[in-house]
Amino acid sequence: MRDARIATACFSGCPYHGAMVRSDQNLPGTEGGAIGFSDRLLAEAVRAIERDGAAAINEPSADARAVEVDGDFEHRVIVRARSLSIAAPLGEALRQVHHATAVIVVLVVLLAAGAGAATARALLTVDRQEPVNFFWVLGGVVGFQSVVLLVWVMLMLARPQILSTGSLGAVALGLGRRVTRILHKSSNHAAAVEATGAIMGRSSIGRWTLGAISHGGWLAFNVGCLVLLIIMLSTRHYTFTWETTILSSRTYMQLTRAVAFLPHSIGFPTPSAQQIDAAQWPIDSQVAQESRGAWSGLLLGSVVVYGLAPRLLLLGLCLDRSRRGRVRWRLDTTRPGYLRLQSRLMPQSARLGVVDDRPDEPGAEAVDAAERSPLRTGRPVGSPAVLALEMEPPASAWPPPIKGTSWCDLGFVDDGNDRRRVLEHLTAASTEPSVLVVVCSLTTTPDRGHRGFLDAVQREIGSPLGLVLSGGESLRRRGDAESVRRRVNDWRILAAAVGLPSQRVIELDLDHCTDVSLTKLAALLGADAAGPPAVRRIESAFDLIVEHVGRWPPIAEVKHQADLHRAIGALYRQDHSSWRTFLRAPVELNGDLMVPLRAGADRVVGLLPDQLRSSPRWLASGALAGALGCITAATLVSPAAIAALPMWSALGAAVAAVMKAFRPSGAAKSDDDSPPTEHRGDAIRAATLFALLLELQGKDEAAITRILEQAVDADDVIDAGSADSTRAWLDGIRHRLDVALAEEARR
Amino acid sequence: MRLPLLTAAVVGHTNTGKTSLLRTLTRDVGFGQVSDRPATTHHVEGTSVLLDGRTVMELFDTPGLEDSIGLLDHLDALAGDRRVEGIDVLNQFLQSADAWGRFAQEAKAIRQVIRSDIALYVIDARDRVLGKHRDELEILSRCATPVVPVLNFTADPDAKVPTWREHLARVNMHAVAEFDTVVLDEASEQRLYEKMRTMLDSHEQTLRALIQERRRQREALIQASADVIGDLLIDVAAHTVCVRVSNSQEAAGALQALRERVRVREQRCVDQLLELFRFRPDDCPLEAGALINGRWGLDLFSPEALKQFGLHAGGGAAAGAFVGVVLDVMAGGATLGAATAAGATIGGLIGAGRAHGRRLISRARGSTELRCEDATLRLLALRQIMLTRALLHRGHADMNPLPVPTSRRFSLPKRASPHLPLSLQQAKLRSHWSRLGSGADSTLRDSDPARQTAQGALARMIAAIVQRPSDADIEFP
Repeated sequence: MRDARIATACFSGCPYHGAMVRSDQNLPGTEGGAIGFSDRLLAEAVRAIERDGAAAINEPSADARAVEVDGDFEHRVIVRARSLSIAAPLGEALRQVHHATAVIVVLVVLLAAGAGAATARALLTVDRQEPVNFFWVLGGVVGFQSVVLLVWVMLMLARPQILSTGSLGAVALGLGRRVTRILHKSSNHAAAVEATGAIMGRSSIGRWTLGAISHGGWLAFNVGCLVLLIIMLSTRHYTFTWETTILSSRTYMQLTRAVAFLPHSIGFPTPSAQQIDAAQWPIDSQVAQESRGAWSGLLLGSVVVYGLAPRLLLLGLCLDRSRRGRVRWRLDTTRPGYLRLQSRLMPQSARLGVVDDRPDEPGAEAVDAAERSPLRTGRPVGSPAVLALEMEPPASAWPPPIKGTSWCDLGFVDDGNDRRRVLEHLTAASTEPSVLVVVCSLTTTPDRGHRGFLDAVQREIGSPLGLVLSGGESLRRRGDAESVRRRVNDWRILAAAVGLPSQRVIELDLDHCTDVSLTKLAALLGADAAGPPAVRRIESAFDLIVEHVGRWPPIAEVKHQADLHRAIGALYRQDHSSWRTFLRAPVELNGDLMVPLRAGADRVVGLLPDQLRSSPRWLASGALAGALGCITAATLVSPAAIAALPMWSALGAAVAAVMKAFRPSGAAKSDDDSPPTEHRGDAIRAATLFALLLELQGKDEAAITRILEQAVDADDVIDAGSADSTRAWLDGIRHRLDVALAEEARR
Repeated sequence: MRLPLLTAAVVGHTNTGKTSLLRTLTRDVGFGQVSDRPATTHHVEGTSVLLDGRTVMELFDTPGLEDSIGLLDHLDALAGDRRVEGIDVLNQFLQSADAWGRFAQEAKAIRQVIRSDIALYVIDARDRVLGKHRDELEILSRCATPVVPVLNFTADPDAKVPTWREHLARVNMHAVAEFDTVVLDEASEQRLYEKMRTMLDSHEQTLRALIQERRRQREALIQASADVIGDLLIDVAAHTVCVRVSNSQEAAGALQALRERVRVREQRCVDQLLELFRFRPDDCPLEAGALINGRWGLDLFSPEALKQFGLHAGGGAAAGAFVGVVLDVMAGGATLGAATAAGATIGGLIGAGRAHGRRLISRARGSTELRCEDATLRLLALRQIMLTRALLHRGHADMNPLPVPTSRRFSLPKRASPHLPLSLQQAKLRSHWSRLGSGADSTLRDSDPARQTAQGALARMIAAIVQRPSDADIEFP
């Protein structure tokens, strides 16, 4: 009976028991009720299931229920766990794990009681004629377990974390886990087992629970021992003695008195000095025969005081601590499995939406346009004027040095005073500037302030405005080519809004002034200022590209593309033989087309910088440029050669075959699948490459590759759908080409 | 306890990163529209910061004060020669038709500033101090609302922080915050809140609670990352593969399989870390050289990868094909010693004894074990630690890649440390702790409380390493 009670006491020390009881009262899935250990255990089990991201449970209804709760993150995690559909079976699994463990713990307790009884019996089973050595029996019953107890106490004080692993309790719980896994194979049970393991390993509950099991076991051992001792001493006749060879009887006397002190003080009969003395030779001594009761009392008293009592006290302590631990224990919400839920269950922000009082009223902008006064005319036209709007002085000279031009320098316009000064100057000046060039920095975002100023300036003068966008390199350093392109576009939109035609907006870097950029600037000033500007062939070539692409049908066939290439080639007709050799194109095409076309493609691809070669798009375009370049080179001089060519369809097939060889095998898209804009993109890139190569031929190959690397950005995507965007894309390349050429010249 | 609600208007010139600042402060990646184009925000858009589910701060994103020069002229014209308070002129302006017409956007922003407890004036520190900025500041100073200037993009080489500070001091704005929305630095966020606190006595508690909450969140994130890394390390350290010594082909096959499993496991750890920091692997904004589409560029078992982190492969057998993997021919003496150090309990000794018993038996049968060597474990740890550190400094506002520091900043370890942390030494003796491979008792592996304890101890250690101030101090024992 006592065994059973102790077993129960020990059993309730196990967290599973408490959890089980609570789970019964507080079924998973219900929201009400305070949060207890069982709920946290359930949340741990859910985390164990969700540990692998793939197994994450996504039940919006459970999340929603958790978010409704007015509590901290842990509370919400628990409410979510309770609201999941898996909660019920998981709770059941947890209960079964508890049962299995409880059974194992009870078995361990019973075994320990049996072991105690067996120990007592073994120690008292001696030759009936011989007296029993009292200290051997006492040592056997109390001595060993006292040593183990001492080790436990020392470890608990020194390194408590060790106790969560190596002890009698750990072995018992390990067995419990194994038994559960043998009995139940479902993933829920695995999660339940893991959850309990996690709690045991990560909190103090583990070591106190294991301690409770250990002490419970030893308590049972002592009880078994005591019961058997009482039975043996009641039903048999023992005479106790003590023996020594080298120690004095005084020592034994003192030892016995010391051992007897505590049992005596709680009322057990203990031997008197005379009885102790007599026990050394008990056979002959009448006193010894009569003191049997006292010795038995001492033995039982010692088991109670030195074995049973400390274990009982420690069991109580461990149970209390583990219960308190369970009450105090909180989920470690910093574990990844919980933290992942934070954005769902405990959002850190909520959007309020647009909170304007009134929507914009249309027509607000129209006021400006209506205000615009008719242009003032009648003043004589003077020299061109220039001003820099919100920008730092460029690295090169200011104002931009253009031969034969004397600027009217309006300086750097920064704040409102500057603006007023410029406007006053323009109003008061006796002459009208022939052109007013406004230089802006691309690092500045155009805004309505700029627009208002440009509008105001336009109201003051009758002469045209020119907008120069400088500082593209600084912007490019901050971001990618895409942001530069967008920024240029934003300025163009602003220019259009103040009525500037797009050709009066030019992009050139005043920090890196080149002859080309100055020529462009001179062109903006008008023919009378600097004479007819030299238009380079590359610019004509780019114009041709825009023009041809605009004429192409949605799907540009090889014939159309070849026409464009021939038109570009015609621009460079005077260097024909030189670039034909450079591109390694044959003098005439006949026989197997594939060989020369492939050679041409190889040649162009070989000239591409790595960055372009690693882009599938550019690789294809390079191959296309090479193949079409071959055809162009062979047919440019003698148009009769075109007649000698096979049908365009056959040529198209050959070009397609060459391109296919350069398409990465991974992109197994057949040519027919890709959208038409892709074809156009390829065609535009190919023509651009061809034009660039013709422009650059004559330089050494390393330099060409270097220049291409700078001029062409592999990530810059063309929107082949509209002429404007093609133009903008080509402008970007032309600008970077100028910068690259200037740098190359410096080398 | 209800904290007083704090409302803040975020103002600034167009395209200085107002929306990015809001995204960072609210940890809401999807808020508003971010681009480097002008006037992306046309309306006043609000978002609230929640603390334990309660709104404690409302932030309002305003359209840029684009035409500040024009507006200031307009306001001065309104005031005329009268001596009036700036706020009265502003109110007069807000009542006028212009507030709905020419200056509609500016009016929206100003209305919100007047209504709010505080205004955060965002400045692109790369810009020069221009007239329009001066006029913006002048207009804001008339709103009768405290203003905290926030210098953005301070990490950019073009940033002109001292110039800005000097100018702001000249217009009596001394509490200036620096806040780079690209490089997230928790200290600068805290400083921003502290600057706000100096101006807003009434909301002291709210701001203090926010600072604490942010610190807690960061610590939680570090703890969770360390837990993930600890899990990886224990899995890999405990993983051993038995091969027959005589059969070199089998050994080579097992070697390949082991490496592959470890690679996959590392990748899962990277994925978990990215998920914790709410990045998707394909848009992980880290520099391509180190992490490509959420994958490490250099193979774990390449000597270059070891070199990158200043580690050396183990001696002798580890050369050549066995880089990063040890052929554990006789694990006897050395590891038993480690076990004693690691276990220090009877239970530990029993465990180690069991492991060694099995090992001795398998050795007698002509088998031996393959496992990752210590250098590989260190490399795994260092790579994930550096990734975590990089992610911690990564704002969600901007999507340009940020480099994960590797070799260039690493010096070789000052001393060779022969021993791994205790938890890993324990793991090396307990192959059932590993989740790699498919052991028969695979469902039992995580339930061992000892594994949990070891992982916890390891995680605490890693968390401490992650929090070290300088990259140069990063070392895994």
